[in-house]
Amino acid sequence: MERLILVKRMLIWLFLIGMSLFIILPLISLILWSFTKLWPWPELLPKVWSLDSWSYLFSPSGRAFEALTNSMVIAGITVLLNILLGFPAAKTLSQRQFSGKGMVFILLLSPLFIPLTVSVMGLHHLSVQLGFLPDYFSTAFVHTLVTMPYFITMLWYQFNLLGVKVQEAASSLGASGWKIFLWIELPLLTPALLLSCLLVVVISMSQYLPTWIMSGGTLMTMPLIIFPFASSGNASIVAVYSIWFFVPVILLVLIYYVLLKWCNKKVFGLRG
Amino acid sequence: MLKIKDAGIRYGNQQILDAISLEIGEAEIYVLMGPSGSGKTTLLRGIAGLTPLSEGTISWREDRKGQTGLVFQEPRLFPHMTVLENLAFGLRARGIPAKKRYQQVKQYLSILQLEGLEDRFPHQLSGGQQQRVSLGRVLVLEPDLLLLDEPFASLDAPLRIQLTEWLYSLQRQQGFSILWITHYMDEAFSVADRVGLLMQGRIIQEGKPLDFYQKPISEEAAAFFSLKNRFSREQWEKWVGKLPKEQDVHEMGWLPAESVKLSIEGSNIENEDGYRLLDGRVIRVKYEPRMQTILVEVQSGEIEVQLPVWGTAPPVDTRVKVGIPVGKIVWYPKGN
Repeated sequence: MERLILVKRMLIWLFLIGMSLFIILPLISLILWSFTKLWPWPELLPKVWSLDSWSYLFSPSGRAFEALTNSMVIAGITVLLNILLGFPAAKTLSQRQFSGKGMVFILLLSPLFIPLTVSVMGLHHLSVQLGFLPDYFSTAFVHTLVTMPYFITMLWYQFNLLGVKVQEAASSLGASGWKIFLWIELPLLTPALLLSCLLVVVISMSQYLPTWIMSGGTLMTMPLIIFPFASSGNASIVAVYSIWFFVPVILLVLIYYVLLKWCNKKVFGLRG
Repeated sequence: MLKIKDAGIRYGNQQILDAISLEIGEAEIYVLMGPSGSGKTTLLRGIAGLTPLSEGTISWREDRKGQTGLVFQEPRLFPHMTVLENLAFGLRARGIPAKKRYQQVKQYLSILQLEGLEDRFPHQLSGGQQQRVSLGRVLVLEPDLLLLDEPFASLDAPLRIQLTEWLYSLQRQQGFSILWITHYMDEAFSVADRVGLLMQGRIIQEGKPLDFYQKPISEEAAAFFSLKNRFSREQWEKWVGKLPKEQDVHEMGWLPAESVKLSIEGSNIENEDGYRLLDGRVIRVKYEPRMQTILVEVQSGEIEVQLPVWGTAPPVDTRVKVGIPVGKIVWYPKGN
C-alpha cells in the first residue's frame, strides 16, 4: 500500500516536472534567441551575444508600443462587444425556452466550425461594407465574431450551473428582473465573466488574418508585426516581439487572479 | 382572507391543477397534503405569482392586494450575501434605505434565533439555520399569507419537529396565515387548523385533521393516509357476520390497528361484547418508532394489529386469535 502511494506521488511529480518543462523550455529558448542573431544547431548555447533585436524593438521603426497599444485597444473593444452581445445571448440560451433555440446556438458557435480561410472572402466583403467605421471598430467587430463562441459557451455553462432557483427566490421577495440581474446574477457570475474576458483578450491579441483583412494591413497589431519576421526566418526579432507580446498577457493573467481573489473575498466571504 | 375560485394551471396540454377552490382565513394554518406530482407546489407558485393561472381567480378580502411570502423546500439563500443581507433582501427590493432595513431586520434576529450569525455567509450555517434565514427573509416582509413548500423536508426528524413547533408558536404570536405543504402526517396534524387533500390536480377533501380518520371521503383518501385494515363491506361481513343496518351505508370500512385485540391460542381470549374472534397466524412483526405492528393472516386476508412498545409480540408462525371490535370499524364510500 505504501509502495503504491510512493509510486503515485512519483508519477504526480514527474507529471508536474514534465508540464513545467513543457511551458518553461520554449520560454528559455525565446529568451536566449532574443540575445543572439546566430544560434546554429547543434550548439547548446549561442556563441555570439547581441542586444540588436532589443534595440530594434524599442527603436521608432520597431513600433513596439504602437503595436501593443493597438492590440490592447482592439482587445478592449472586443471584450466590450462580447459583454454587450454575448452576455444576454448566453443568459437567454440558458434560461429561456423558445423554438429554434438549437439553431440559434449553432449559429452563434459557427465561427468555431467554419475554417477561417473559408470565411476570409466574407470578411473581405464585410471590410468593404464596414469601410465607414474606424479600423479599430471594424477589426474589433470581426474579432468579436471569432471570440464570441468561446465567450458565450463559457457563460452559458455558468448560467446553467447557476440555474434559476435563487432568481426565483429573489423574484418571490419582490425583486424586479433588472435587480435580480444586478444583485444576484452578476455577482455570482463575476469569476466566470473575468475568465471569459481574459480568454477573449488573449484570442483577440493573437488574431492575424482578420486584423489584416479588416484594416487592409494598416493597423499595426502585435501579430501583424511579428508575422513578416517569422516568415522571413528572423528568429531573434521574432523572439523579442514574442516576449514583448507575452508580458501584457502575463500581466493580464495576474490581474485576473488578483480580481478573482478580491471577488471571492468580497462576494463570497472566502478567505485565502 | 384569501379566496381562490376555480383556479386551474396548464402546462401545454397537461392540466396540472383543475377547478381549485380554496379559502384561507385570518391567522389560519391550512395544511395541504397530497402525493408527489399532485400539483401542490404548482398551486403555491400560482398563489405567489411565479406561475400564471390558466383559469380562475385569486382574490383578497375587501379587494385589497394581500402580501404573500413563499418559502421553498430548499433554502435558496443568496450565497454571496451575509445572513443580514439575505434577511434584508426583500426590504432592499422594496427600496427601503439601508439603515432602516437593517434596523428592521435586527429586530427579527432573536425571534429567528440567529443572533451572532448575522455576518455569516450561507455556507457557514447549518441546515436548520439556513432554513430559518429562508423563513426569516419572508417574515420580515410581514406577509399576510405565508406559503410553505415543505420547508423542513430535508432536515432530520428532531430538527424538523423543533422548527415546526417554533414556527407554530411564532404564527400564534404574530397572527399571519399559513398555507403549508407537507407530506409528514405528524407535522401536518400537529399544526393544522384545516387540512386539504390534493389529488390529481383537485382538492378531493378538506376538513379538520381528524376528519380524514373519522370520515375519509374515498378509498383514495384513506389509502393516502395509510389507514389500516381497509376492506370492503363484503369482506368484513365474511369475517364478522351480517352487519347492523346503520352500518350498511358505505362500501368500505377501516379499523384502527390499535383497537384490534390479539391473543395467543390456548390463552383463551374472552369473547367480550362487540368483539368477533378470528383464527389466524402471525406472518410478520414490524418494529416502528412508537409501536410494534403484527401482521396476522386470517381467512382470505391479513389484519394488522398494533401493540404498545412495552408489549411482547408473538413470534412469527404463532397461531393466534384476533378480536375485531365491530363497532369501531369506520365506514366510508369507495369513491372513484
